[in-house]
Parts: sequence; C-alpha cells; structure tokens
Amino acid sequence: MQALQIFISGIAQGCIYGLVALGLVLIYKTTETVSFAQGELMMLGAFAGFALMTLLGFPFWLALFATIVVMALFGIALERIVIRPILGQPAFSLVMLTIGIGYVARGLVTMIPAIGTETHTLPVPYKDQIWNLAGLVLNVEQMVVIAATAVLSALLYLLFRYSKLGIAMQAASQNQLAAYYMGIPVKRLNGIAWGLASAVAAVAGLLLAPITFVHANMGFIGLKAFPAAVVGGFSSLPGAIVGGLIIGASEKLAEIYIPQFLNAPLTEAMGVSVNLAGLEIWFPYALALAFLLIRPEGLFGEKHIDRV
Amino acid sequence: MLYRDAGQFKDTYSADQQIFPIRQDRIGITLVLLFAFPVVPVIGNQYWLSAILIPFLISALAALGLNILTGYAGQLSLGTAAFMAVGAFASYNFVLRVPGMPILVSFVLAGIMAALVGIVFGLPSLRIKGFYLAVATLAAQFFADWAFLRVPYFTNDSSSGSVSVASLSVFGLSIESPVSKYLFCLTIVCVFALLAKNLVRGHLGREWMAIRDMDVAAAVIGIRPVYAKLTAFAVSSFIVGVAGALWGFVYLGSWEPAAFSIDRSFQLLFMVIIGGLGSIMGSFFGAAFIVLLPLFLSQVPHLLGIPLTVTVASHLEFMIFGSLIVFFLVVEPHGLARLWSTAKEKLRLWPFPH
Repeated sequence: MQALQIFISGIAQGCIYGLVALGLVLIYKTTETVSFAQGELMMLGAFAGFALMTLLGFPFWLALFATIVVMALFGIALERIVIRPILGQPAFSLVMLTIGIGYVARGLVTMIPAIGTETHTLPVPYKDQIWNLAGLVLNVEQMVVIAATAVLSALLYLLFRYSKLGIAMQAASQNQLAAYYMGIPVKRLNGIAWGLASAVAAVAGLLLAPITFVHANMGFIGLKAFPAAVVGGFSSLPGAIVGGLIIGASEKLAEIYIPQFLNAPLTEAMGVSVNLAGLEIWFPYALALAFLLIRPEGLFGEKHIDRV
Repeated sequence: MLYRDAGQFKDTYSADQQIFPIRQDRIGITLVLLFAFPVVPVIGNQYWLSAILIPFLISALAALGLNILTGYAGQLSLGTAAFMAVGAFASYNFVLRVPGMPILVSFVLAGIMAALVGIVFGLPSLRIKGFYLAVATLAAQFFADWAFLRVPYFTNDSSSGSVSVASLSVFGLSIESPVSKYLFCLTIVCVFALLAKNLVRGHLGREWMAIRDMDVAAAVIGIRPVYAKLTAFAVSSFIVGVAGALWGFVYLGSWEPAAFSIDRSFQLLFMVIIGGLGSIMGSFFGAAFIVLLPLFLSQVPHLLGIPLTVTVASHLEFMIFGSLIVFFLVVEPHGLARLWSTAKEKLRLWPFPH
C-alpha cells in the first residue's frame, strides 16, 4: 500500500519531468537544438501565473489561459531574437546559449524587488485537498498534475495527427529541405515549436507550483528532464512523457526503498556505517546512463548507428 | 607591419619546431612572464592578488583541462566540477592520512585519482557522443555531489561536511602570504600550460583533433578511438583535479562539497566557450573574462553614480552576465581566441588594408 502511494507520487513528479522533456524533444525535433532553458521557462511560467493571479487578480482558469498565451509568445520571440541568428553554428554553442538564456531568466526574476527572491504559494482552487480512495491518501494537487498531463498529451496528439500545423511540423522535423520545397514555412514553424515548448513548460510550471511553491530556483528541476528525454528517446514525443514517468516513479521508489533495504546489509558487509540516503539526485542520471549503454536510442527513439 | 615574420629564417630543426616561431611572439611572452613573476607581486595589493589573480590562475588551469577535453578532443563534459572535487578531496585525504606527505606530491596523486575517475566516467564516450555524453557527465557531477556529502570517509567524518587545510609549505618555504600563494599558483599554471601546449602540438593532440573532427575517418586511418578518447579524459581530468586541489588548498582554505556544484561546471564551460574552443590561449582569455566581469559590473553603477542597493546590484550583475554571454555567443561563437588571432592577422598587414 505504501509502495503504491509512493509510486503514484512518483508518477505525478514524473509527469512534470515528462512535460518539460516534451518541450525539449519538440525543440530538438524541429531545430536540432538541445535547449537547457526549458527549466527556466517553466520557472517563468510559474511566476507569470503567480503575477497574473495575485497582482492582476485573475481567476484561476483565466490566469491559466493567459499564462499559456503569454509564454507561447515569449517563446516565439526568444526564438526569433536569440536562437535564429546562431542556428547554423556548432551545436555546442547553441547549448551554451540556452544555458546563458537560463541565467538571464533567473537573473531577471531575482531582480524584481521583493517578489523575485521570495518563495510564493500559488492560490489554486484545489490547494491542500486530499482524497481518500480505497485506503490510499491521494494528494489532489498530484492528481491534477496527472490528469492535466493526460489531457495535454491527448491535445498534442490530436494536434500532430490531424491538424495541418501538426503535420507540417512533423514534415519539417523529418526532412527540412523537402519541407521547404513543399512550401512549408519552416522558419515560422521553428518559432511556433519554441512557442509550443514554452507553453508546455509554462503548464508544467503552473502544475508544479502548488507542490514546490514558486521560487527562482525551480528551473533546476528541469535538469531531470534530460534523463527523461534520453530514456524515452530523443526523437519521440510520446517517449518523452513515458520517459518522464519512468524517471519519476523509479526516482521516488529508489529514494525510499534502496536505503531501506540496502543500508543494513552494506553496513554489515563493509564494516563502516553506510547511509544511502539522498541518492535521488543522481539516480535518474545513472538510469539514463544505463539506457545509453544498453539501448542508446531510448525506448521509442529511432535507431541511429555510427560504428567506429 | 609590426608582426611580419619576414627575415626570420629557421636553420635548425629545433628552431623550426619551437612553440613560438615568430620573434615578436617570443618577445611578447617574455615580457608577460617578466611582468607576471617579479613585477606583479611588488606592485599588486593584497586584494588584487588574493581575490582576482589567484582565482583567475586556478580557473584558467581548470578551463585548460576542460578545453583539452571539449575543445581538442570534442567530448562535451558538463561534470568538470566533479573532477575538481575529486582532486580537492583526494589531496586533502592524502595529506591527512599519509604522515609527512609533501603538498606537491599530494597534488600529483590527487590528479592521478581524478584521472582514474575521469577514465571511469569517460567510458560512456566510447559508445555515445555529443549531447548524450553531456548527460552521462551530468551523472558524474551529481554522483560526486552525493558521494562527497554522504560518504563520511572523504570528509574525515566531519559533522558539518566541510573540511579545512592547515598552512602549506613547499620545499621548506611557507605558502602563507598572498604573494607566495600567487607565485606558487603562477608557477604551477605555467608548467601545466607548457605541458599542455606541447601535448596538443604532438602526436596525441593530433589524434584528439582527428577524433573531434571526424571520428569515423580517424578510425579508418588507424587512430584507435578508445585510446584517444580515454587519454583525453585522463589528461583533462588530471589537470582539472590538480586545479581543484589548488582551488581548495590555496584559494578557499576550507571548503564543503557545495563548492564544486553544477554552477561551477557551467562557469568553467562558459570560460571555455567564451575563450575559444581548441585554444590554450583561449582558456586564459575566458577565465579572465569570467573572473573579471562580475567585478567590473559591480563597479560600473558606482562609477556612473547610479544609486543601487547591494541586492539589486548583484542581481543586475547576474542578469548582465547572462546577457553578455548570450550576446557574445551570438556575435563571436568561436570566442576571444578567434578575435585575438584575427587581430594578429590584421597586425601583419597594418597599416595596409590588404
């Protein structure tokens, strides 16, 4: 029973990782850029939602909608102003550029007097509620995260499968030159991909805010989206979500059960007192590393072999 | 016109193979060394020496190690601070547990430990490259964070998690004052820079560059990728480990595992990118940029007479730092070393336009 509870809270955490990883994979598929700024975009989305709800007094649903629109426009502007000029450069420079963007975002937020440096609570209508279901104590905030991720994934699936925009984005990500020839406005689609990824990150931020509160260092949680994208496969959008769920669940289970089961035997075997607490900071990466050595294309990615 | 090498004929093989073949370069580097060794300790005040020059030198050494791995061998590494931590904690443990161990020997042994750890975490590079390798090195970073925090052996069962070192002495000379610390760091950095420059000019350096540029073709012509990649990780981690030991012993004096967090890794990466990938000189330029920029930014509002509170000034500095990095990457992605070599090229022709 406790294992199921831990599993569910791990799934909820994994949904956040999955959403950030979704934005990551989206940007990678369309622009072949690895964006380290997704975590900071998530933080900006949370702060935008907080500002709209407390400073402008928007009701929850209006603030949600407005945050998504604002962050999508921000993502499009970011791509146009900062990313597009250096798109042809080696991938390493682009990665460092996105890290720099993350620094700028964090600096901007902490610069706002009295708001940037504090921790805030987001006044959501479902705050601090608990469901008691069949012996399980379920945190409504976590349930909302899981439900919202499911809804968002379904919406994105419909977008990519049936809408003209989604099919055009798929075409541009598969073969950019052929997409150009077919008359698809690839540059505009790159901007839209960044806007979509920022919007998804903003939703992740708003979902995460009731659990971890709104503060300027939220972006570091986004670093765990990289193992999620690696496990799921960098070229697969559903893989990002699945990878996030796997990373979230395994991280939570490992955090509780590995010290519980291994502390005593290892202490006896090695003669010194062994405490394996706190290993969740590197467990997702070790899992991703294992995946990279066994199945580098991830669970759902396409195989790309370069034997040397 | 000032920089022409017309008339400088080489008539021996050793003259042809020297590091600085152009006489103006040799004069320049001699002047820099003559300024750095005897003049700076005399004219420098304590603040400049201990708060600016020493971190600059040690960061330049660490950036040098990272440049070898990322710039010359093409293996992206986001976990450099972990190797610095290995070097610092290994050196601390050697000095603590082996009675009478000289500092320099402990630094070399710490570098060897860091090299071994680097080889272990470099093993994934044999199967994965590019961004995926970055994720693997992130694993190294967070694992080191956890290990030095949770395994009490490394910190000698310290309850606060932080360690401190007593005063250093090398060959009987005590390294206590800022001047002696500065000269100690400067000597070590010069020795390592010379070794690194020779290494990248030679056989191993060319193997690394071949692997970086096109690893399939390199394997075809007979370069063993395993050997090249693992030696890149080993040499780079050795240098970074020694830099970490210097950072802990000479600059910090007492440190905890959080001193080598992922922020440090990103800072070293920024140094390497801004300085210029694949350039020894670039590591120094990048380290100077990153170390001096925050100081400069904190002085600018004061000089312009704009009244800013301390907190706003420090946040503003953070933001300007990030946007300058972004601006720099957009304008000159190849870094300051490229600007330097472009300037030298222009100097050859000056005052003529072409």
